[in-house]
Amino acid sequence: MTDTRQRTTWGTRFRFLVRAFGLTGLFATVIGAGLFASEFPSPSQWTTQTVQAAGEGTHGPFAKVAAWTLAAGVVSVAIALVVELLSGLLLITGRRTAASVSATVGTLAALALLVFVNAYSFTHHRRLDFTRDHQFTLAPELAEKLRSLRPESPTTIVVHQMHQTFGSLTDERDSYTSGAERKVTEKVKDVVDLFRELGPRFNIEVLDTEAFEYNRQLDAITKDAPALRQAIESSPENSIFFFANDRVQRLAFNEFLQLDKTASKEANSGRGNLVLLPQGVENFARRVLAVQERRPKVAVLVVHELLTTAYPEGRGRAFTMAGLKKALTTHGFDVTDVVLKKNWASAGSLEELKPAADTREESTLERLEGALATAADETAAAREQAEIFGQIRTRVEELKGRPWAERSALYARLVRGGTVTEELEPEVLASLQRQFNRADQILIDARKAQASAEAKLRDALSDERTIEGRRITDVKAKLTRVLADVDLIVIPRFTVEDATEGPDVAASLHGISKEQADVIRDFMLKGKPVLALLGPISSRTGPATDGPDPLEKLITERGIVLGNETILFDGEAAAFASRRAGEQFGGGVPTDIPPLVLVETPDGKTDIKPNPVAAAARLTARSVDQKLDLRARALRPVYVAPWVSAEPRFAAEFVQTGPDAWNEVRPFPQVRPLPDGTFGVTDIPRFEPTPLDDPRKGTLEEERRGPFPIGVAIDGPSPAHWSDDRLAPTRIAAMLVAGPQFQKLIAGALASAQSNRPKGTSSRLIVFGSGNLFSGPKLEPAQEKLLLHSANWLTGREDRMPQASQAAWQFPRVEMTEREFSLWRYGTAIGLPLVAVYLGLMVTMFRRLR
Amino acid sequence: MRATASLIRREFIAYFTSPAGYVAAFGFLLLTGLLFNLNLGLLTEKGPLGVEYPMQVMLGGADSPILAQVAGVLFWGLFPAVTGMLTMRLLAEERGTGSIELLLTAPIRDWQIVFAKFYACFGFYIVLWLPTLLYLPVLADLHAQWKPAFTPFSIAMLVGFVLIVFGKIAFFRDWPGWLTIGLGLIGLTAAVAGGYFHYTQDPEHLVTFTAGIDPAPIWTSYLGVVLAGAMFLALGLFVSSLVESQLVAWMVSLLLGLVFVLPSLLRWWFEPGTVGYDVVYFLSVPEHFRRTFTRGQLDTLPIVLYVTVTLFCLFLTVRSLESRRLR
Repeated sequence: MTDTRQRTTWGTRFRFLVRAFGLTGLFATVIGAGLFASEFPSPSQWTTQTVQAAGEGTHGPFAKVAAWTLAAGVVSVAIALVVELLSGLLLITGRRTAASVSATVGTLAALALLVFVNAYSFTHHRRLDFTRDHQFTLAPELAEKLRSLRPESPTTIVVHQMHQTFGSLTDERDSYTSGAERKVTEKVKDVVDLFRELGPRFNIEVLDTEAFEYNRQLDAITKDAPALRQAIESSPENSIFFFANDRVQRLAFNEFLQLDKTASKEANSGRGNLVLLPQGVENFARRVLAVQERRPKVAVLVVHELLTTAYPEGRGRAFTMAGLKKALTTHGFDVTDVVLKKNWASAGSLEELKPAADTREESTLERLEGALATAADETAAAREQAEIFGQIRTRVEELKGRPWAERSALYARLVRGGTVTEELEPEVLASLQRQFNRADQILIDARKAQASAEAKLRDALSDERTIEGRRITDVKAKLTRVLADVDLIVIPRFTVEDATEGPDVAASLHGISKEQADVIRDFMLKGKPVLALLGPISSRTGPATDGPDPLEKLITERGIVLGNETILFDGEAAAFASRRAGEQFGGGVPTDIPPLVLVETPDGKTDIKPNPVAAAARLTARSVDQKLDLRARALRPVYVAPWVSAEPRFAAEFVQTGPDAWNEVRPFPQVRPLPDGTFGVTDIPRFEPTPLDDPRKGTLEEERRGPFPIGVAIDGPSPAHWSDDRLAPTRIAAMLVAGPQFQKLIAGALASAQSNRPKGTSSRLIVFGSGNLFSGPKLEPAQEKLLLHSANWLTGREDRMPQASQAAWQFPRVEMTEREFSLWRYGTAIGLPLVAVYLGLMVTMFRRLR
Repeated sequence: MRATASLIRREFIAYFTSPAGYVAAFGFLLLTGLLFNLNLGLLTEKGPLGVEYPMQVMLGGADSPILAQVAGVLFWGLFPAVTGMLTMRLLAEERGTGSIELLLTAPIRDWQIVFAKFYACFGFYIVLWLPTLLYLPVLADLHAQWKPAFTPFSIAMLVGFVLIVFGKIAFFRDWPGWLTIGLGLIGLTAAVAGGYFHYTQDPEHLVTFTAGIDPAPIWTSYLGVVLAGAMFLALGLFVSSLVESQLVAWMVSLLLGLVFVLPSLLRWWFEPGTVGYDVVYFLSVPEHFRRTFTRGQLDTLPIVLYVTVTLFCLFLTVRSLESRRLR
């Protein structure tokens, strides 16, 4: 038997050595890479500089060994490859035939072609989307915009899971919310993948507050991005952050894919699914494109510093709009205050208040000046008193040792004619000493208070902008300037919080001047929106006697009719009654009132588009499978004028009371002297239907039961005469009075005025018949959502409102009976493999037979 | 041509006459059956759970639930093993038994040998996947409605199908080549043209399919399976041409196949959008399926990779046979 092994030559030995060398080098490379990776885990650290530094021992002995092992391995492999290549060339140029050379060249050419084609494909590949709804395809115009983003300023997208899906609405967590969180995270990654294909650079990071290394990850991501960190830390719910060029935009999970928990529970015949309402990839893309976008600015116009958005110090918790500010700023708005009245410190009556357009700081400054003046007066009085006591003290000292008659004369003056005996003298002197001490203490306290007031005023005066602002005396010009960069005006008029308690702030206090109203009118003429929160105007003694102030006139001219009554609930009537019985006098258990109702479309009017704010609120409620519990007392009816409702763009009256309410002209009980000399509660408000012969019967003022609209939203043109003074009703009236020579002009003006009002710029307006709907240091969840939807709609940010315009996303489901399920299960898991076994055995047996 | 057809017939039938083919089919159907059952559970799930892309679970690309991830690892671990099993004997057996010499001296070109062997094992690979079409009624929530809409177009389509079947029979019964080709071509033309006009011109159709679940991921996935399978088979065939032992051929082709599978494990390590991730994506077949094929997309990157590697491996196999002839 011959030895089939190859003959061992020096050449084969050399080849073995080279290959052994190369294999050992490969082994060393793998080991070195493993060691190096344990020291430098991030791929970004794997640079030649790092390896060089590690080899020099900069990173310690372990890294040095790893670097040297890696380097030695790579060099060994390289040497082995070079030798193999050279020997291959020698073979080709040596004894191989021309055919084998051509074969080798052909193989190398094919290899080169393979590499080239794939390298080209690597950099120029395209993804084609064949899905039914083209879910992986961006709209061409959107793709074009994203392409225009500069790749050198990358956008960091942070998906921040804090396991709070609905902000303040509820913190309830269940399988639906956690399922939605997972799916949103997946979908965000998909969208970012789509964006990446267009060129611009995006980094995506997923942060989970419940993850082990959350804080370390957060520190790493926000190391050079304090704005991002601040945004993440102040975020109220699961959010997606877009960060570029030190600017941050936030998108709540629900603004990308909104969970519809109600539909999720009802889906698949009640067996459940995960139903998400897509809010549009455009919504997501807009945040990327508009990362530098300015935040909309909201101005809160009030008449007193206490009603501003400042967080209350002690008193004024009910009046503050701090909750409104917090809700708006958290959701992407900037909020500023404008105080419309001044002279509060010195005014003796309402008439002495002066119109203003002050910032909160200016108003504070005025208050501090008043406080300082008061403190100075108190100090002066204390000083005067101390001086008098000083004189008494001197006189008492002078009379020491003098006859009793002289001393008693002085004492008699000091005790205002009382009799002082010699035995009582020590007590009188002791009493005087206490009074001296007390006067000294009062003076010290007054001086301290004055010093404190001076210090506060000094601080306030250090703000140059405040000082500069005060110099402007033209209220109209100043208010115009303040509102120039404002995107939304909010006008809260807090009057009554609870009718059973009586009015809190007189409605007349909120009245503004004509020039201030003109500025607001001009604001609307520019197409900018207004949110008015108008509390009832009834006074303690009955209906308001003053006419509507200029602001209410403006609102009325826009097509909103403001009721003069106050809406009371049936439950409150019982409270009034029990109060009369003395059960709750001076307070007690608050009465329960029914929640307000949000109306998308009026009953039976299917041809009207749903109200956008109510529709958004409904979707929000569905996301938590709860109704929005919106409650408010002492409301004012707000109606849409017939000429507006004749051609509605959508349902205008969108917030209503329930039927258990009535409109009351005298909503406050009176406390009057009774025949027996005592005082008692009289004029208890109760529902008394308007009689048939009453002229109010059949009008909006008719006393009747609910429901009453208390929230109206309109989107339409301003009255023609706002922009063209010739059409003003007063001017037309004047022409009518002037005589027939103006007949033609009158006819033209009237025709123009009558022929609808779409002359001015279109703008949005929402009026709520409650002055305190969004008041308080913190808003209730339902109030917050209503405010946000209203503000977003008013400022044209519909993309931030929940929408159901796109088909809902849900997990695909297959309906089948239990039997079908079992057949599929066992048929595929056991049946099909058994068929293969059966056929295999049959074939084997058949072959044996042959 | 005749010799090529004979060789294809011989190689193809060999899969059905040896237990190895059935063992492979059993393992394959068991695995896909388990994956399908996982899908079945998710598609009939209660509450907010489920699967968005059923084919992602079928082809081992789903990240949740955790069982789907485990099944995915199992699937892609076994995929190159199964293709290796199909190709290991093709040329290694011939070399081991010495019949390669006979084959090389037969009046048939090297490329024809390689083509015939590849065609046969690729055909068997397709046959392996055919039973999985039974899963489609569930995976696409497919419903069919039958109607006796016999129009000239529908009849042409049916006749076309029958002619194709006769063409296949002619091929395996070794009937004359012109008849085999004729039946095949006429049948294909009639089936395609008749089908097209029947579904675009006729008001009613013989069968109308409605899919409750988007069917696009199904056909894109099957296309991916066909192309990726071709690549793995070509790789295995090349390896089989280099060694004599079938076991060695299987092991080496498995190892080479894992070069296109294991990079997917590195996807957690790299941030998407980086070059590192792009390279991982380029090489990783499971990642191609997870991100594109099973979600109703076609990416030219993996398609180009599969086609070019397939052609390159077939080219190398031909060269391998040629080099043997030169010795």
